[in-house]
Amino acid sequence: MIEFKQRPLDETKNVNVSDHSPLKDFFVLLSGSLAILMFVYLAAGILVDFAIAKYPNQLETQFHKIFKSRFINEEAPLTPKEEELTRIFNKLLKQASFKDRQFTIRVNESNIVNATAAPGGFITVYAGLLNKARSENEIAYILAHELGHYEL
Amino acid sequence: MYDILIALALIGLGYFVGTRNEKNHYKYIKKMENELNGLPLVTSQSMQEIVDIDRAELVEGNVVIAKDYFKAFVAGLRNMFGGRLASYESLMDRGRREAMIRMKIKARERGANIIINTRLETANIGMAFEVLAYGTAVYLKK
Repeated sequence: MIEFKQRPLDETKNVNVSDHSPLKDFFVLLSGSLAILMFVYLAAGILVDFAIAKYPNQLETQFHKIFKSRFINEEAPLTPKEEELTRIFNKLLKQASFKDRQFTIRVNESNIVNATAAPGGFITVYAGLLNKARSENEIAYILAHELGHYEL
Repeated sequence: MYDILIALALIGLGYFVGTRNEKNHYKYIKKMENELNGLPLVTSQSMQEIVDIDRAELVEGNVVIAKDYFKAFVAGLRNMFGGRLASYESLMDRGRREAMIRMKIKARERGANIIINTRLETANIGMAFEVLAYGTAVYLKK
């Protein structure tokens, strides 16, 4: 039988564990990933600003069509409140620089004090706002603001 | 805000306690490896020469090692960029060596002369992992 000669273990370096400093690894990886995230965030912001300026009108109409078909039901008839708002709005529209756009005013019956402008010419005025308004002029002011969102 | 603080606290805890744990474990491993150096352990599937064997039996040693939050965090980041995951390498290394030590302890207790056909297996248990070392302990006739 081959004689077994016991030799002392000599472990100066562990081959199976890479030479590394865990704390340094941690900081390098963390700051690297944070830097990348910051870069992506800033780049996205700049690109979006750029893209909006060069947005052609045709593309916008397409986008409006998609939004319309997905989110808004424009078949329902206008309520009296909505008709009134549309009457005010049409007066403002005469002064606007775009005549080829379709606008629909809708009233949302919750008590939120707000009004929104959505793609496709859909303006939503909330009932809370209508209740708080003290004159037709105030409402016209708000509608004009919403109309201004479509101005580019 | 509190999430980030808690995460940082866990990472800090993981780093300090985990590093101390690892150092102590390595000290123990080195000590035991030196002590058990007299019992050879080979991977050959049979005794290479004709010898008088009294008996042979299966011996095994296993260990379950958990990772700390610091290691897990660094591994998560490292998984995005690729490269050697050094934080887990030491974990696996300790597991393997400890499992083999435990197997040798068991064999030595029973008076074995050599362990042949040694194999290692690894398994996942939730967030921890287990290393099993098993082999045939051979008892030679005196």
